[in-house]
Amino acid sequence: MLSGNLQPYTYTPSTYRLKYCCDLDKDVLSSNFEKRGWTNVNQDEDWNFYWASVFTVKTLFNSLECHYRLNDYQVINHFPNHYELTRKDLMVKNIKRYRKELAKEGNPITERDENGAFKYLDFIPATYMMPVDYNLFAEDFKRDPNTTWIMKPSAKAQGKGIFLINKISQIKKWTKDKWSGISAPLGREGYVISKYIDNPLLIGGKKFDLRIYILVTSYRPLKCYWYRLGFARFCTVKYTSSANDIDNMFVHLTNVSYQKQSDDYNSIHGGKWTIENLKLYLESTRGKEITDKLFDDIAWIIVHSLKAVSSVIVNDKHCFECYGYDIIIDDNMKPWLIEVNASPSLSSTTSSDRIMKFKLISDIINIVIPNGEIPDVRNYNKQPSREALGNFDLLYDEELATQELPDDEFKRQKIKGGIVPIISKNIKDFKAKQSVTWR
Amino acid sequence: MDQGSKYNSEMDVSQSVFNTQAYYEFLKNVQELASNSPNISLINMNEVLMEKIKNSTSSRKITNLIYTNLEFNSIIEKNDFSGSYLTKAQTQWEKKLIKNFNLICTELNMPLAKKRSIVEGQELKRIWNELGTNVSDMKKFRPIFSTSELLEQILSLKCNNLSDLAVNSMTGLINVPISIKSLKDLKKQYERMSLDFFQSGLDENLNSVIEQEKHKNGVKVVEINDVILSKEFSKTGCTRSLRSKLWSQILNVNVGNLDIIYYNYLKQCVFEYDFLIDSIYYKDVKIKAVNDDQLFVFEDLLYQVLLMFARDTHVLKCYEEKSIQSPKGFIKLKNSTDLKHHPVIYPPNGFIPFDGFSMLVAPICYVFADPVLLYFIFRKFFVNHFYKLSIISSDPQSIVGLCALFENVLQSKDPKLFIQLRKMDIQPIKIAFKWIIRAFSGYLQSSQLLELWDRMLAFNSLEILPIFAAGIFLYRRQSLMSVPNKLHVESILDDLKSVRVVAILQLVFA
Repeated sequence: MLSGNLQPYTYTPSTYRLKYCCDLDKDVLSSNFEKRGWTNVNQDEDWNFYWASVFTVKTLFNSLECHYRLNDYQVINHFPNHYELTRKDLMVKNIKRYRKELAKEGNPITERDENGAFKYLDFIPATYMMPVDYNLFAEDFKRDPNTTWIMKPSAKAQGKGIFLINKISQIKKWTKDKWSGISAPLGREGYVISKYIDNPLLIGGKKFDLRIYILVTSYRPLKCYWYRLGFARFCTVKYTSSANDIDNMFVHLTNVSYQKQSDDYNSIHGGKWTIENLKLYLESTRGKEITDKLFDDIAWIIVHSLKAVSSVIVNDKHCFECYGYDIIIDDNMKPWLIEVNASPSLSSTTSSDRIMKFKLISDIINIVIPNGEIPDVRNYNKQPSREALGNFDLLYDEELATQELPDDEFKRQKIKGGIVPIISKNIKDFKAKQSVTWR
Repeated sequence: MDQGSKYNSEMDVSQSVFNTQAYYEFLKNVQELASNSPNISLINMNEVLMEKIKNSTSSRKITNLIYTNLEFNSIIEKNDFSGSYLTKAQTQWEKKLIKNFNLICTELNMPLAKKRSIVEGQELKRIWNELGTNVSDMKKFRPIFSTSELLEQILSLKCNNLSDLAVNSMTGLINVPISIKSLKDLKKQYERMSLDFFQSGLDENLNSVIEQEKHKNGVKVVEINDVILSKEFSKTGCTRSLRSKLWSQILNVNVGNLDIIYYNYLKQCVFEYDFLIDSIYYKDVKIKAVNDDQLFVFEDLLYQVLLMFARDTHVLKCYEEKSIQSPKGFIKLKNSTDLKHHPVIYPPNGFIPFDGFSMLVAPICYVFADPVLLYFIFRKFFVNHFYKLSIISSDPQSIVGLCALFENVLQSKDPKLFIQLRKMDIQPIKIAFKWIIRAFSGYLQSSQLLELWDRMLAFNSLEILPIFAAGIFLYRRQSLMSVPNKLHVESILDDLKSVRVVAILQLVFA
C-alpha cells in the first residue's frame, strides 16, 4: 500500500522489496526474511539489511584504505568495535574505567561499603588480565587462598578453553617471564582470570545461569531493549563445590554447547527453563519483593555495563546489535555479570527454542526496520511504537529519561552521569526505587 | 496430622485432638495464661481464661484441626452399598493391578522388596540429593497400569438396573447412575468464580492495582491463619508470594518436630529396603517429568518424595472405611522353621501408581523449596484428593464421578458441540481423561496450573478438573465445530499451553 508521505529515496515503497544479506545459514534468520518477502543479495550488492558475522563487520569497518561507506538506506547488526563490550578483558577494563570516572565526578552511586567494595557497582566478579595482571592476581589469591578461580580465553565463546584452578601452582606457567619466553599454545590470545562464584543459587540442587537478550539501537544517547523470553540454562550434573569435582566441567559450565556433550543432556528441552518459570518459582518460594529486586538489579547491571562502553563504542547510526548477556545469581540473590556475547547462538536446540529465537529475530527486525519500510538512518528517530516492541520491553532510553525527569535535582544527577532506567512495564515503581538509591 | 476415622459424637472429635502437638501447645498456652493473670480466682477462672484464649493462635490451631478433620470425614463415601456393582468393579480392578504387578515381577525376575546391604544403604544416603545419578538402565521397567487401561475399566462399568434404558449412552460413555451436581448447583457452589468477583491471575499487568490490593488482604488472611478464611480468600486465586502459606493453611500442614522425626524415619526406610516399586517411580519421573520443559529441574526432589511416599503407612488412612483393599505381599522368613507366608501390605502405602503419577508431585515443587514441607504438602494433597483419581467408587469425587460430571457439564452447556463430536466418532471423555487423571499437570503453563490447583484446594474438590476440561472444549468450540475429522480435533486439543485457567472457568460458570 502506498503511504501518503513521500519517502526521501527514489524507490517506490509499494513495489520495492527490501534487499538483505546474511552471513549465517540459520533457519530462524532465513525464515524471517522469507516471511517478509525480502530479496537475498550478495555482500557487494546494494543491501538494506545485513545480518553479518563479527568477522565481516571487522573487515567491513576496518579496511581503512577502501573505507566501505554505508549509505543512508543500510543497517547492519553489529557496532564496529562491539568487542569493547563483548571481549571479556575489554569489558572488565571498561567497567573499571567507568567506575573510576564516576567516582572522580563524585557520583553517589560509587559509594563504597565498609569493606571498600562498591555498594551499587560491584557486579562483576574480581577479574584480572593474564599475564599482565599476574602480580595483582597473586596478591588477591594469597589473601583468600580457598577460593576457586576460573580461567577463560579473552576472545572465545561457548565454554571453549575454560578451566578452573584452586592452587597457585596451577597458574605458575602464566608468570610474566615464561609468558614472554616461549609462545605457549594458548599464549597469544590472552586470558582473563575471575573469581569463581562458588555459592550459586541452586534450584532442585542444580546450578544455572541466565541468558538475557538485549537489543541496543544506539549508544549515544543510549537506547536498549530487554527481551522478555530469556531463559535459565541448567547443568545436567548436580552441583557440588568440593575440590574433587573441579575437573568435571559439566558441573560448572552451563553453556548449552558444552552441556550437549554430556550423557544426561535432554534433547527435548536442552536444560532450558524459561525466565517466566524462574520468576514463578522465585516469587512462590521467596516472595515478590525479593524477585522484583533481583530483576531490577539485573536491569541495573545491564544498563551500567552498556553505559560503561558508551563513550568508547563507535556510535555508527547504521548499526544495531543484539547481545546475549550471561548472568549468574548467587545464593544471596545477587546477580553477577559473567560475560556479554556479540553473536548469541541462533541455532535451535528444541522446538520451543526455535520459536523463541524466531520471535527474537522478528521483533528485532520490527524495531530496526520500522513498518517494514526501507530503513533511512537520517530520519530514523529510533523510538519504536508500542506495537513494534513485540516481546521487547524498553529497558533504557537516555533521551526519554532526560525528558521525563520531573525535578531539577534529578536532572543534576543525570548530568553527573547517573542514569534513570525505565522499564516500560512499571515505570513508576522503578523510578521510585531508583530515586531512593540515588539521592 | 490427619485423623482418619469417622466421628460418631462430639466425644470422638475431641478424642482426635488430644494426641496432637497443637493440643499440647494449647494446654501450655492456657497454663501460662493462668499463671500470668493477676486477677484470677477459682470463681472467675473459666470466664477469664475463655476470654483470653478465644482469639489466641493456639486455639485457632485447634479449631483448624477440628475443621479439617470434620471436612476430611465428610467427604468419604457415604452410601455404603457393600457388594454393589461398583464395589465389585473396584475389587476386580484391584485384582487386575495385582496381576499386572506380578507379571512385571516375573518378567524381571525381581523380588518385591529386599534388604539393602549396609554399604548400599550408605551409598544411597550419600547420593540422596542427586538420586537421578542412581538410575541405570530403565528400559526393562514399565508402568503397572496406563491411564487408558483405567478408562477402559470405567467405560465397561454397567449398572444392572439401568441396562437398556441407557439415557446417557445416546451421547456419553459413562453408564453409571452416580450422583452428580447439576449446572445450577455448580454455579451456586462456585459463585466466587463468577464474573462478579475479581480473580487473580487473570491478567497480571492490567489489574496490577487490584492485584496489589488483593495481596495486601492476603497478607492479613495469612496472619489470621484460619482455614475457612484462607479457603474463602483462595477461591479467587492465591497471589504467587502467598501461595505457599495459603496452601499450607488450607491443607492444615504444620511441620513440627514429630513430623521431622517421621520424615527422617521414612528416609531411613528408603536406605534400608530396596523396593521394586522404586524403579517404577524412577522410570515414571525419567519418562514424564524429566522430559517436561517446565518440570525437569525438580527431578531429584521427585525421587525423594516418591520413594518416601511408597513407604509411608500413614497414607493407608485414606482407604479406611472404604471398600478399597490394599494389595498384599507375602514375606518368607529366612532361617526359620515357620513355613507360613506372612501377609504385609505392599507397597506399604497401599497405593499402586498409574503411568505419569509423578506429574502430580512436580507442580508442588514450584511452591515449596523445602523438601520436608514439600513432602507433607504432597501427602496431604494425596490423602485429601489425589487418591480418588484412581479408585472406582460411588463417591462423586472418585474418577468415575469426575468423568460423569465432565460429560454432564459439556452436554448441558453445549449439546450441539457434543453431538457434533459424537458424529465424528469422538468421545470427549477419551480426550479429557488424561487431563483429569493428572490434574492437568504437564498440559498447562505452570503459572496457570497453579491457578487451577488454587481452586481445587479452595473449593476442596476435584470437581474443578472435569469442569475445566469441559471448559476447554467450550473455549475451542469454534475450531471444533468447523473441522472435518478426528485427527483435526485431536490437534486442536493437543496444545493447552496458551490456555488461561480463570477465563475458561468463568466461561463455564457464566
